[in-house]
Amino acid sequence: MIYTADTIEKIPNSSIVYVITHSTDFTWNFLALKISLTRLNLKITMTKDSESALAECCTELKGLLRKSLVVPNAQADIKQIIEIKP
Amino acid sequence: MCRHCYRINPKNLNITMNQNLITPAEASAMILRGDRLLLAGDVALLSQLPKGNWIGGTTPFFILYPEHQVTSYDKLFVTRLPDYVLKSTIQEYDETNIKEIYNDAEKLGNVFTVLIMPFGSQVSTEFASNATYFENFAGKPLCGWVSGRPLDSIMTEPSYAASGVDAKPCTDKAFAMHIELPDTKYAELHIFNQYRQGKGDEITFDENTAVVTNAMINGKKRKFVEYLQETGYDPKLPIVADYSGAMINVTCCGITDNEVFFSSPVFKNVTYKIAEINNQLSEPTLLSDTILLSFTCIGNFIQPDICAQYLCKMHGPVVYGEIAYQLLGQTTVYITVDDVINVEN
Repeated sequence: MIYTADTIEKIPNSSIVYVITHSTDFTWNFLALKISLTRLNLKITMTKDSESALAECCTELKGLLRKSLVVPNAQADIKQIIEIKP
Repeated sequence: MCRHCYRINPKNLNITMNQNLITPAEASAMILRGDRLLLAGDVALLSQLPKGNWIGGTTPFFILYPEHQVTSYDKLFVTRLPDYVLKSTIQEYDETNIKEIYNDAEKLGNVFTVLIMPFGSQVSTEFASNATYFENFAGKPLCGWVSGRPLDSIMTEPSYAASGVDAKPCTDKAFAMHIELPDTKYAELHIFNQYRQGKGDEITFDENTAVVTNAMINGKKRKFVEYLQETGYDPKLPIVADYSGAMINVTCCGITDNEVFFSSPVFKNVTYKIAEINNQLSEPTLLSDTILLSFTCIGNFIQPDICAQYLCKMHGPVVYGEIAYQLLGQTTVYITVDDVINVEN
């Protein structure tokens, strides 16, 4: 299975928020994702889960994944995100 | 000169055929014929180079197989970018515009970026403190290094970065090369880290700072120096944060009666632990034969066992802070370039 930009768009924001806030519960492959997840987790913590911050974080993480579709490690991580049921 | 005359015996190079120690005259010849180069060496050597497609920084130390640990003041370490590179764009940054580096890469398509910053410069401080807050952070692969000098003069003598735009080494500017790849290839950054979080106390800080007085130890405020003394801390060990599986080191570079000095800032709300050696490591070159560049921290270079066991084939300059999206310490950063997989959409 190769995931595309359409796949990324269809990931519910609730899944993205769960991934960010539970980022250390999973084993990730793609370095940019690991570092970005921690950064976004800090952003959510520091903004006390504000709705606007959550939306920004979802947009940013989906943007990173879209830009990284050609990277096999990113594809492996997208597969994992899709399978997460918050 | 033949296009490949600068190469050493291929039997001694199994990472890439395009890295070696060469004289300034050889480097100049490569620049004048239009090669795209990443260079490292003494400032007196960088100062001899003509304008062209290159960036460089100062360090006298290199990892080059089979010697492992090489010191040279009369040769430059060169990485010649492969012919599949479509274009390279050199940009100059200081503390006022370094925040644009990810945006600049974003405008250029399928690129990765190599950044060289002088040790002790304002631009390196700004990058170390705020890179993760830059717009489009991590949107494109950004690697690189902090240039330096021998450890006995790093605090007293200047470190330099330079570019082929004006070919004048400087102490207060950073230079980046945005390197454009064909759509058939992608670049990916990796970290080799001999350390991981130990099993000790959780350490947090109440501000972003490279000079620490107080810390929270398992949630309780303590004088950090006292805590480290009580626990018999070995300053050769970094403190380590777990970034969703990526172990990010912060290097201790000095302890006084009241303060602990780190080579890069610790961050508020990030949990650190004192490092332990990770015994489950693999030599990076056994994981990938497509390593294009690598930068090894001086903290690893001064440990012969690490170099011999894991890093002997990680050709590249020895540096005073390595960059993989953000500034790191006591690691080796390397970048691979591979063929893309097919994505329809």
